[in-house]
Amino acid sequence: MVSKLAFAANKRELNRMYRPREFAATLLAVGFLLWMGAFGCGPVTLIAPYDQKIDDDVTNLQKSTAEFFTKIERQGGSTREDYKNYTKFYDDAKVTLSGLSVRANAFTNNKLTTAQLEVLSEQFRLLEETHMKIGVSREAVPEYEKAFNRTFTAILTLEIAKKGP
Amino acid sequence: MKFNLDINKVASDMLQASASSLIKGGEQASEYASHEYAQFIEDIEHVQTMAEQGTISAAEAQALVDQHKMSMQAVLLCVEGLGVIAVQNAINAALQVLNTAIAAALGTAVKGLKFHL
Repeated sequence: MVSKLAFAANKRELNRMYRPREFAATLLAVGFLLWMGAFGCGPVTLIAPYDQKIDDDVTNLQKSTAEFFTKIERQGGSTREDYKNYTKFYDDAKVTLSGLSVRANAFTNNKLTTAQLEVLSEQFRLLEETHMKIGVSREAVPEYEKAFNRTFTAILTLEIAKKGP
Repeated sequence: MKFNLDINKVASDMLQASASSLIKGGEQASEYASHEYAQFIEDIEHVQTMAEQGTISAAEAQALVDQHKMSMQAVLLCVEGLGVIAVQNAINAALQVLNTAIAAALGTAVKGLKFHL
């Protein structure tokens, strides 16, 4: 008799605790919280994030390139015999670009910056080849500088735009 | 518990947020591209003039044209990147609106939630 009464009391207690609507609402709330945590918080990334190192190194390379052109312009152009005096500049540019390419490649979704750096490497290669074969005339220096600066600006514009709105 | 989420309003707000972000990014890319295209044409014309006047040799003129062409490749890659960034910002602007709306609706729902334990 006592056990029957105890069972009835427990059943009433269980019925009081188990309320399907409230239970469903709680589940729904927890589900939404999990969904928010899993999908709702992180922004979508289609392109690599801004990289201060690429920004700084490209800016420094632009400065050394500007110094190179200024020096050639000041000395009235550079003949192909004079090329040997500038091999250090070309070597330094190559090393810097190699480092930049490796770094840019290390980021996912960074193929556009990597491709831009390849274009810049190709420009340096062509400049060196021209310098070796025919030299660089004083009159051509501003045009070379414009072409290089356009590429430097394109790389930096994209990198800075990655900072976001 | 009452979960109030006006789907139509949220969808409209998401569209507006993404559209304005996309337009802003598109305008920036278009402004940059048109400036660089105009500059490129001007530079090529200048190289041609210098070659015609004999200021620079034909070989050097060709090297300069090649340099300008390559720099335009970098510009086009930049324009492509600006487009990708504009799309990314548009998606994130829309998601931000959705997150805010869901958080607000969830907040109201949780406020009215009664636990019976």
